[in-house]
Amino acid sequence: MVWTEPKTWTNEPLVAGDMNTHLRDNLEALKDPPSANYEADEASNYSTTSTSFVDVHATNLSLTIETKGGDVMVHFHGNIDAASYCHLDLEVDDTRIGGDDGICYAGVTHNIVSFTRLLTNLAEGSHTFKLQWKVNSGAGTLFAGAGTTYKDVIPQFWAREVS
Amino acid sequence: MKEIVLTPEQAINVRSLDAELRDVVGIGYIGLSTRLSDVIVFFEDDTTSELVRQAADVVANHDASILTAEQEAEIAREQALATARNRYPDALDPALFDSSPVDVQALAERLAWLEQEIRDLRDL
Repeated sequence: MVWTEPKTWTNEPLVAGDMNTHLRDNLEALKDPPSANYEADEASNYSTTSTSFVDVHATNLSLTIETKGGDVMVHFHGNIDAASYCHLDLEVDDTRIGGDDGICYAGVTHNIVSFTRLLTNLAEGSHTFKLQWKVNSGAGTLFAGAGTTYKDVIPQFWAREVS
Repeated sequence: MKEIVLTPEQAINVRSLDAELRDVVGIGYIGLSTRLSDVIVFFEDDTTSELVRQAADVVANHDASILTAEQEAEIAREQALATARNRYPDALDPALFDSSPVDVQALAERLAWLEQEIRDLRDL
């Protein structure tokens, strides 16, 4: 259900059309906001040796939602092993939001990597969020339900409009 | 950034393939990613098509069983550690040093304590 800017009520009769549009439909829109979610339960883990930011997976770990305009919250959690540093960033509509080394990083082994990012004042319309990563040397591995001993874990990536 | 997407039929050793590609392509090579069954190789924009073709050949001919020197060293370290663990399966008994000088007895007690701490950390 699409959000409608609520009308300002004056001294007027309560009619079904207004009630349905401005109360019922908006409550339904709040109950079911634009959102997208991906849980990476794959046949093989993801890995990279790229020293520049690249998509972790251009389609699986890419989320698109149609928003009414305002704030969007994006979250990721997973486990990463790295030879040295493995950096994560979020690309919003083809633009990375982090610094030279992204928005967070993993060290050598057994890292829980998690971020929740509030993106404020996004314009109304379609927005695409991609998880990107790079390493400073060696290889980074994102474990993705592929059966690795002790590391058979399933990352999650989601985006939801929150205002 | 340029990239090529390849779907090799054989298994991939990411670290050794990365080293092979770095050797062949040189400074134009940015890295590789594995995404499910695909291998994506990333290059600087000015990398020649000939180097990109050579990189594709490297992926096609890659042998995952050939390890990097670093991987071989890791395996050697793990084997050495396993050998040492098997050599001393039982905890140190400080009583064995009762007839030794006092300093040695004190060291044996402290070593036994450290050994217990490590066994505890390793859930043994």
